[in-house]
Amino acid sequence: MKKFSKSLYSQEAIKEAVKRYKKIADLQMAEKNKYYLVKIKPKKSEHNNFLEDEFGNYVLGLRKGAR
Amino acid sequence: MKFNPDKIDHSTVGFFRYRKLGKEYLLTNDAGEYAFLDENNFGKFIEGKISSKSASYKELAKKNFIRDKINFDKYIEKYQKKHQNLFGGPSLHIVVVTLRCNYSCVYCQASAKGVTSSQFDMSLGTAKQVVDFIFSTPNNNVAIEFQGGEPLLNWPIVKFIVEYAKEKNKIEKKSLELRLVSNFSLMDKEKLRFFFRNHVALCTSLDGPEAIHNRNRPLPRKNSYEETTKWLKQAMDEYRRIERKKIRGKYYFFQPGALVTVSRFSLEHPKEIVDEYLKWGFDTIFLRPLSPLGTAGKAWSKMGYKPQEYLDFYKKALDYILEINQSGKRFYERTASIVVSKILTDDDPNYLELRSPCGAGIGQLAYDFNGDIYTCDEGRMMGYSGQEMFRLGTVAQNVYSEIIDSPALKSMCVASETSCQAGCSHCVYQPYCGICPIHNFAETGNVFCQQPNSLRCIINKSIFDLIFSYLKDKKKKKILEKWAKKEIECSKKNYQKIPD
Amino acid sequence: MQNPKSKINIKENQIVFRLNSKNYPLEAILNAAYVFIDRVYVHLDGDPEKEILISLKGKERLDKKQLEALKGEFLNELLNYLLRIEVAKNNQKIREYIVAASLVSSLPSNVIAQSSRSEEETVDWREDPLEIAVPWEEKHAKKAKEKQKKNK
Repeated sequence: MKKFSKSLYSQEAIKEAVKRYKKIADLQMAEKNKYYLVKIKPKKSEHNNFLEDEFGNYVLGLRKGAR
Repeated sequence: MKFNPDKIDHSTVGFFRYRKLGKEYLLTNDAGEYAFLDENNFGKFIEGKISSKSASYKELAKKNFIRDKINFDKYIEKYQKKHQNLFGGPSLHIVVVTLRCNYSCVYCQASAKGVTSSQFDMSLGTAKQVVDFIFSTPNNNVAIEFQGGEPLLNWPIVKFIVEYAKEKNKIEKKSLELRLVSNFSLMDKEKLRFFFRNHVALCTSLDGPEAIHNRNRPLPRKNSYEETTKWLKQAMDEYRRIERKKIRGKYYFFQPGALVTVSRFSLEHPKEIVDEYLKWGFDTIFLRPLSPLGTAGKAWSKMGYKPQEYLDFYKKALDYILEINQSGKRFYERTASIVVSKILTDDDPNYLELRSPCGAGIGQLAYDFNGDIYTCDEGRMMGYSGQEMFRLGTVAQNVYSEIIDSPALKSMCVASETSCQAGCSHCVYQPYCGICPIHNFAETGNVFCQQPNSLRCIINKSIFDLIFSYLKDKKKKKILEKWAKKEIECSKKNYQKIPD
Repeated sequence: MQNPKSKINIKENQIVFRLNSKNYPLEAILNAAYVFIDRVYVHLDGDPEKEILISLKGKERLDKKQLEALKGEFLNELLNYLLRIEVAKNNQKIREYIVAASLVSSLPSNVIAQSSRSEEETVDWREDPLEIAVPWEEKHAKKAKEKQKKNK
């Protein structure tokens, strides 16, 4: 489960990332208190070790990027 | 680190971007000026403590890094000159006269069809509409570049467009350039004569010595290298004949050119590829990295490479070329020429892949065989991968104002404006670099890319690092200065009024 | 520059440290983090008003020394961004002026003339669209009548 602080990560960026990752993982997004929560289950077992972290980086990239 | 951001002297520190290269700091500003400072002087500069009598200060002041010494007229003039190409409208018009091709290049991004598929040829009616549309665009400089597939497979339309464009230009009086990009295998004497008589610049693909070229660009049942070089030789001979007899008069004839595509099979042979170009009498080589589009994208695991592999190849080739220049022979590497012309001159060569925004739609347009208009040839190629978002309209139904006003075109401008992109806006190379939103899209599914990860960013940054390190070497700098001058001269010569 | 205390988790291949938001604005932290995402996994937590927790996790296996070096690099990059942000902020108006002056003077003269003409030609001033020439009493009498009609 990946926790994203609402004051540091935008909901928009997380939703965009969830959309992009749908091909390679089953994702569920929720909110709890000051956090957005994303449950990530990779579709391929060989991705288990790093997909959650890659997802975090991707969201950070979207958060930072100009749109 | 020898600076303290809390101690910035706001009255003297003008805007700059920077990067540490080795033991020095490279600074650049919006006008594309650059300066090197050692660690000590960098810290002094930040704190406003650099002596006004020192050589470093004088250089910084001259180049408008010192805020209270900014020469606004000069700064504005240079900034304007660097961006002057943004206002002209598209000048390069890529006309894909057919999708048919007789080659099976391993890295093809053109979505080529078989030689019997004539339904993918541009019709006469469409060709006329394409030329009419091209002449409706506002730029006085117009370059019509025939591409494909293999354009000579639709020779009647190529001939028609050349003649019709010249006829139309008698009234329009634009600076018209005509170019053919072809594998040359279908050339003959009649066509060659036609191209020279009509001042059509010729360009082919030559990936290196026979073994490399044939591996990259197989021609079924034939030797692709022999077919290409047979006509390359004839074109070069004809060009030299014109040069010797000074037949050209006041009009510029273009030396036939060639382009290299560096595939995995090329990486071990930088010197051999350069020697092949020298052998054919070229004075330029353009060592472009492979693009992950089209066939190459699909087969990347087999023919692609990591950025560092390409960069190792590029450095070896460039070092070899610089040695050749040091021995007295003039021979240019085009990527380096373009980069140094942006660094060392007040002009801009208007190379569409290294400008901000990129040339998509506003510097070039691509016209497919059926008259569809795309932001660029890469955008057209994406259309064949099922991504139609780069299609702007058609020559049959849309006028120029509708094309230039399209949301897709505007998105491309925003996505390729380097000062607006994370990772680019603070980059020291921002004044010289460019983004390709289509490459971004091919890599990540998004026209906005996470730049530190992008293939192009890694390659571009490394090439800039290399070039700037060479600019610190007096001998190399002298050579690169000549390249910069030549690049700008060529970019201005490109549009010469060709005779009626 | 401060060297914040850090917590290393060798098993997770991770180093975590805290930064005071007053000294390190969020913009600088985000910019620095962005530079690292091609080679490490970066995660942020905390409150931008008080303290931000930075977690750096190696993509390759790293030892303690290497994780500390990573933190050092991050802090150096943070310093770079503090400087960049300050320089950009301080020179913003000058840059805007330069860009605006360059672009306006690049426009074809007929476009400049057209845009200034279009402002002038929107309304004929003799029609007095803003009712400047209408006397105060007359204007207010008009308004009172309109209000009466509305209330009915």
